[in-house]
This record gives sequence, structure tokens and C-alpha cells, in this order.
Amino acid sequence: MFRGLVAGQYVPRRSFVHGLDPRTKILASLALITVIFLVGDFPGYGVLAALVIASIAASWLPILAVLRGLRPILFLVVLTFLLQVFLGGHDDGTVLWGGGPFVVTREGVREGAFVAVRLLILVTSTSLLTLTTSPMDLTEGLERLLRPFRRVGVPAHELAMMMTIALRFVPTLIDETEKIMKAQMARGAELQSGNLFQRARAMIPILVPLFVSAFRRADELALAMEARCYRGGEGRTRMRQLRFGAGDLFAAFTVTAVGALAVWWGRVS
Amino acid sequence: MPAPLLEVENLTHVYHPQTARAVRALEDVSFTVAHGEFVAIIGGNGSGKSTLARHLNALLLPTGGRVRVDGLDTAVDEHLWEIRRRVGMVFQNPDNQLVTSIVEEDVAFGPENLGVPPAEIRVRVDAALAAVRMSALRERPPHLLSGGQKQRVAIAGILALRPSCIVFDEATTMLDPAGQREVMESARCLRDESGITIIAITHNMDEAATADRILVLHEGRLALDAPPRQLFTEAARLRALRLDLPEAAQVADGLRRRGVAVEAGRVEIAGLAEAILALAGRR
Repeated sequence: MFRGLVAGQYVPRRSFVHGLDPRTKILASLALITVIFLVGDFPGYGVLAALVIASIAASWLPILAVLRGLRPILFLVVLTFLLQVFLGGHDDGTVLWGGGPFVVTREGVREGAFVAVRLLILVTSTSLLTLTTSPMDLTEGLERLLRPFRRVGVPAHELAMMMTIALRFVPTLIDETEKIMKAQMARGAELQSGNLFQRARAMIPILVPLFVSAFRRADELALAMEARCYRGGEGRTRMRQLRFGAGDLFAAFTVTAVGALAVWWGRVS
Repeated sequence: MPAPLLEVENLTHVYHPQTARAVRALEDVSFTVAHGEFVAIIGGNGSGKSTLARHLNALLLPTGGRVRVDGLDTAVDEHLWEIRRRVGMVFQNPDNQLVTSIVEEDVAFGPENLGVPPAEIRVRVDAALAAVRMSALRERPPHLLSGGQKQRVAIAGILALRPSCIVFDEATTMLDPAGQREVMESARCLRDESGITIIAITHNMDEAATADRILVLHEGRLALDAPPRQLFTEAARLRALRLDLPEAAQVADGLRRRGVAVEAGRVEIAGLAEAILALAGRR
């Protein structure tokens, strides 16, 4: 039942994109998201799509892994497309097909395709970040990027430590949930039948023990961390060092240039 | 005689002092542990074993008495981190003491906390993983390891702090027999090769039988302090403390009570077998 979590998960490879500094990849993703919303016309998306496809090629990812990441949003893409086509309100456009209350216009199809392509590029480019960056690298990159904002009260180290621990305990808690579910089912709990309300109620005997155990784990973990001299981020060093190299410079330059080109080419005329 | 590593003097600990819920967990406990010793601490549930263990690296502070590590008083604030560096602790639940989702990053956690330079951390992590024979699994996520392997990673995480002593707080209780053996072999190996002092808090009498010395706690007091061979001849006394003998000692005790003069203090199966064979051969 937890298969869904696997989509968009890190796929280890030794490619150019995998080898980039996580900070470069995070900033590039943020830049791309901004650019996607600045682009107003198809030629811009052509440029962006070319960049995303080139990046996938340079990351040696199995194309299936990328497509699997898109599956959860496929429904959303189709739905927004249909909504735009049928209810987009382009009544004065060139009519392609008219049947009863619904009118399909050239402008409506165009608008629908535009939104669909925007969504696809958005999700592909962000999932490229998580597909090519290990969670530990991602956490480390975020901590380093947020560090300058510590002075204005952003708890950079604490956030990173919370992410690290969360990542560490997700599989453990999933195992535990399955164990509790089996235990409750063995006592006759009905988890898979009944209406929505009944099924929600059936979750209570699973959530209560899960929470109790999670708090106990947190207590023990805190003790173990203190026993290993943990005292917050102050004066802490890291074994893993990030290096901003020539490849990162190249990637940053490419993304900036292509992004600018996309915005310029995709401006609404 | 060199100064002892651990000095526990008249240690008393009361949980929730001066409230209605006050519980005296430890009462006037005194002992010392020398450098490189392997000491087992046994006792029934609620005997104060874990409370005692947590005083050894200042996770708990004495209500009365004093605990010193290498001469450093645990009650003095400035000594806190140095004491925790010198006395590491492996806890009972292997899942709840690993912090990160990659083995070698977890081993690096301790030295990172001390502010050790990155290159030096790398060296320490590699050495620590090699010492517990986990180098091959360095990039695994902990949830894919067996219980024994997780505990070995926890040991490596402590070794990277370059400790003088490791306390095993029932570290084998949740493991299968193979895991128990893995962990105790690692502990013994560290003592023999690196001279690290081992304190093993345990329920498992066969495990305790392999120590140099056993401390028995009963209702918060130190009831016995003796080497295993001597301790396990006092079967009646141990039973009074609601403790079992290791299997070999039980057999030896039974034989002795039936009038077969097995050499006293045989606590390991192999030793017992030898003693029985010697008797049989003589007849």
C-alpha cells in the first residue's frame, strides 16, 4: 500500500547531473520553476523542453523512472486540459467542433495544451532534482543554502537535522505501521471494508499505537544523540563536503542562458 | 597501581526527588573499574542496572555520592562532553540510536558533533567501520541491516569518538542468537585489541559468564562483586536474588548436589565437558 512513495525517489547513477553540487541543482530547479511561470507562449516551452530532455539524457536515468514520476499527475494534466478545452470560455474563437452546450474552439485547445505542457515541464524538471540527488545531499545542500539566513532567525541546522531524522525513520515507521495493521487485523479489525467514515474510524487503533511508539523512539533517539555528544549546530563540522566545480559553473550558465532565451522567445506577442 | 577508569562512590539516585512519586533506584553503590577490564552488571527487573549505566556517562547525575571517569567528576558541567566522548553507550533498541540514513554518515555523527576536521573524520570513520567489520556495508541505509549489524554500526559510531570505555545497556536483548554473538564478539575484540574497557549490562547469564568480573545489583544495592567462576558457585545465593545460573553452571550445580564432585566454578559448556570427561576417565 506504500508503493506510491517510490515515484520520484533517488536513482543512483554516476552521471554528470548526479555529480553536480546539490546547491546548483536546487537553485537551478527554483530558477526553472520561475521561468516556467514567466514563459507565456509555446516557443519558450519548446526551449525548456529541450533543456529538460537534454538534462535527462545527461543524467543517464532510465526513461521509465522519469515517466513513472509523471504518472501521479497524468490525471491532473488530462483534467486541466479538458477543463480548458470545454469550459475555457472561448466562445468567440474559431469553432472546431460544436455539439450541444459544448463548443470546442481552436483557442480553447491551444490554451488547454499550453497549461498541460506547463504542468508536465514543471513536474519533470522538479522530479529530476529528487531523481538525481540523494536525500542526504539534498538536506546538506538545503542547510548550506539556508545558512546565510540564520542571522534573520532561519533555523538552518535544525531544519536539516529534522529532515535527516525524518528520512531515517520513514522506512522504520512504515514497517511498524504494517506490523500494527497485521496485529489489529489478527484481532478482527476490519480495515478494508465499510464506507469512508467507517474506514477512517478503523485507522484509530493503528494510529494510536503508532504515535505512542514514535514518541518513545524520539525519546530514545534524543538520549542516544546526547550520549554521542550532540549539542546543536554550533561548532559542528561535517564529513561530507560540497564542492562547486567547473561542471556546476557550466550547468549554472546553461540554465541561466536557456532560461533567458525561453523567457524572451516565449513572451506574449 | 594505576588510577581506575571508573570510580563510583556511595552512588545514590532518586527519581523525582521530594515528590510523592520519589523512587530510590540506587542506594549507596560503590565500585571501581580498571582500564581494559570487562565487567558485566546483572540484576533482575528494576534492580537499577540501567540507572547505574546512565550515570557512567553523565546521562543521569547522582542524587548522592560521586561518579568519576578518569578522575573527571560527572557532576561538573565543564567535564560533560569529555566524559561522554570517553564513555560511549550502546542502547537496547538498535533502531532508535542510528541518526542518518547512510551507515557511514551515522558513524561520522559523533566526531562531527565534536567539530573534528572533515579529513580526520573520514579517517576515523573508515577505521571504526573496519574494526567492527562493516566496511563493505558503508553506504547501506540502516533499515536494510540485521539487528546485529545495526548494533555494530552503533559501536562504530562510538569508536569514531575514540572512547576509553563502551557501556552496553542491554544491547543484545532485542537480537537473535547470531546477532548477540556478533555484538559480544565485537566487544571482546575491542577490549583485547584496543584495550577498551567494556561494561555489559545484561539479562543473559551466558553472556555475563564471559566477563572478567560480575556485579550483581539487587533492589538498587550492589549485592555481589566477584569473578564469574566464584560467583556461579554461590548458586543458592543467586537464586535468593532471583537470578538464574548459566546453563553449564546449572548442570555443575546439579551434579554437585547429587554428590558428583565436579570442579567448582565451571561456567562454560566446554570447560564443564572437560571436567566431566576427566571424572569419567578417572573411574
